Amino acid sequence: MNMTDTVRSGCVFEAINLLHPNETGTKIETGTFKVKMGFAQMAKGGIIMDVTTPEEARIAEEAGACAVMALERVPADIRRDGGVARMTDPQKIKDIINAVTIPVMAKARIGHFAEAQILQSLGVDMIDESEVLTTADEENHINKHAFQVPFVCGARDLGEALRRISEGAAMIRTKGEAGTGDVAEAVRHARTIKKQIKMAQVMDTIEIYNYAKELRVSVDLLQKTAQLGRLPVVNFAAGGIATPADVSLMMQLGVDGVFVGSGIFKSDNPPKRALAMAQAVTHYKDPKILADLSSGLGEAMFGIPHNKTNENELIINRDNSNICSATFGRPNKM
Amino acid sequence: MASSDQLSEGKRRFRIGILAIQGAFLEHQVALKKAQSCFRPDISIEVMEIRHLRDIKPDLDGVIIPGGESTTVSMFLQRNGMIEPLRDWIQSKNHVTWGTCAGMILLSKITENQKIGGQSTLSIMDTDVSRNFFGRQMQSFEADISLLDEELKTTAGKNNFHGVFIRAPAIKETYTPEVKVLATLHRDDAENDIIVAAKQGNVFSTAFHPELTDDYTWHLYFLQLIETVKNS
Repeated sequence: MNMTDTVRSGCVFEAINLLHPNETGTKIETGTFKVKMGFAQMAKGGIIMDVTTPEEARIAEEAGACAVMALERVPADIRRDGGVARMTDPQKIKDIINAVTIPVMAKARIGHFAEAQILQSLGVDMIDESEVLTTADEENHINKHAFQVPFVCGARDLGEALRRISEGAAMIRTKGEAGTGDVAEAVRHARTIKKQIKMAQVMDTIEIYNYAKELRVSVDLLQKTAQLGRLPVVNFAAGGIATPADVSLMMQLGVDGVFVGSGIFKSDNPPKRALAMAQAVTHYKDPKILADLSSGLGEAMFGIPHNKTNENELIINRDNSNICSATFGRPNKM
Repeated sequence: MASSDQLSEGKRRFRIGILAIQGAFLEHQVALKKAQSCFRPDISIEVMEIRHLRDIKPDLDGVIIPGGESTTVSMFLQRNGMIEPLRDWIQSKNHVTWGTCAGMILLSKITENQKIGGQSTLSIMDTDVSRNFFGRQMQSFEADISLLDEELKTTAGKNNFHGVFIRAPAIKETYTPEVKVLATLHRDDAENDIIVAAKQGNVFSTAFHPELTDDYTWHLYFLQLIETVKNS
């Protein structure tokens, strides 16, 4: 992959290798695209949980989460409270980093590279350039190649996913509809990406050129994706996942793992639900075990059905790019 | 047992289980298939995922414990009663086990930097492993490591290997002479070369991720070890 070598930032240690004096030395390279993507690959088959306190982070770690997302408020509260949603208080992120040994991620506003620089300096393991927060730059996303820390970005369709990857995202997640507890949008986005990859796979070279234009992505990246038959980076589901069955549904649709936001800590019994959902990621193919895991969890988050949310309130509509009209992103709205 | 190892065309078959709880288990599967194609034409491999207690079968020849989060994997093993059966499986002299990254942590008898309350391990190798030895993701890196084992050097056709280290552990100490150091890493910021791969009996572990590279040396080494064990 040519992207691997494009932009590297930060320190490169030069060392003399005494064992092999003929060679120039051991080069220790940090922040390469391979290392960024490798981090996402280690999260595969896992569940990443939104947490707002060190205590919640400990609950997530004990449940078996493979990482936590440190937030000021969970998406359901952001949705309820309104106002401008920004990066989390650095002190809170530090407290959460100190509370657990698993990776800690944090969200920056779309296009807000200064927030991302601050998060990187705190030592977070991955930054989510997220539509859940208020968009800071209506035109541009962060140049993620310029960072040492890996990024995950949301996408509703293939065009959006590939554009984020060319900007340097090492991981993609479906946008879904965060904070609703309704999985419908996450399903739509996962299916759309899958469908568009299948379409690209049956196209001949001429058609691929046109399709790349339509999706507003590079032909090379689209061709590579078609060859792989999947996104070239790790792809998680996010936005509205609330039950072990939701986890299973998304995993069976072909995602590599799941993010759970409000679904756990807005439910009746967070420790129990967190544990059940963490086990569900591994046992997603086994309905019998899922039945056991889903039993007696208490109330799931109350939620807001997606079709009842006001169109203007939809978090995903805050993203100003008009790709939905260029692709099949949201066919029912065309 | 011998009859089930024979395929109709006289091909021999290796059965390999990959612990598929969390982490890069598909990557290992792909790498194994590619390694097999340049291994021996008369040997075919069958790869199975291990997600349940019932998947830990005595007729498996090898098991890979892949990277991912060691806490996630160890708690899953414990909650599903898989620690003891897996430990028993690994300790059988007919079985070959390879742990990468989180796998190295799980296989070690002593682990530093555990989560609060500790984490259970399989406790097989006489090593002291430090979790996240190099730091957080920002310190994750790629670098050439030095191969110390002759067989590995022959398999690789060179003396080094390009290692990808993701929030990687390292072996701080080995306690018995049975533990053989397979590979080390030289860093300017460290006084001594760091042990990043070791072997004890038929069990070996690597702190880095060969499954994330296109070099199948370690997967070939794993298959060769299975062959040696099966022939003995």
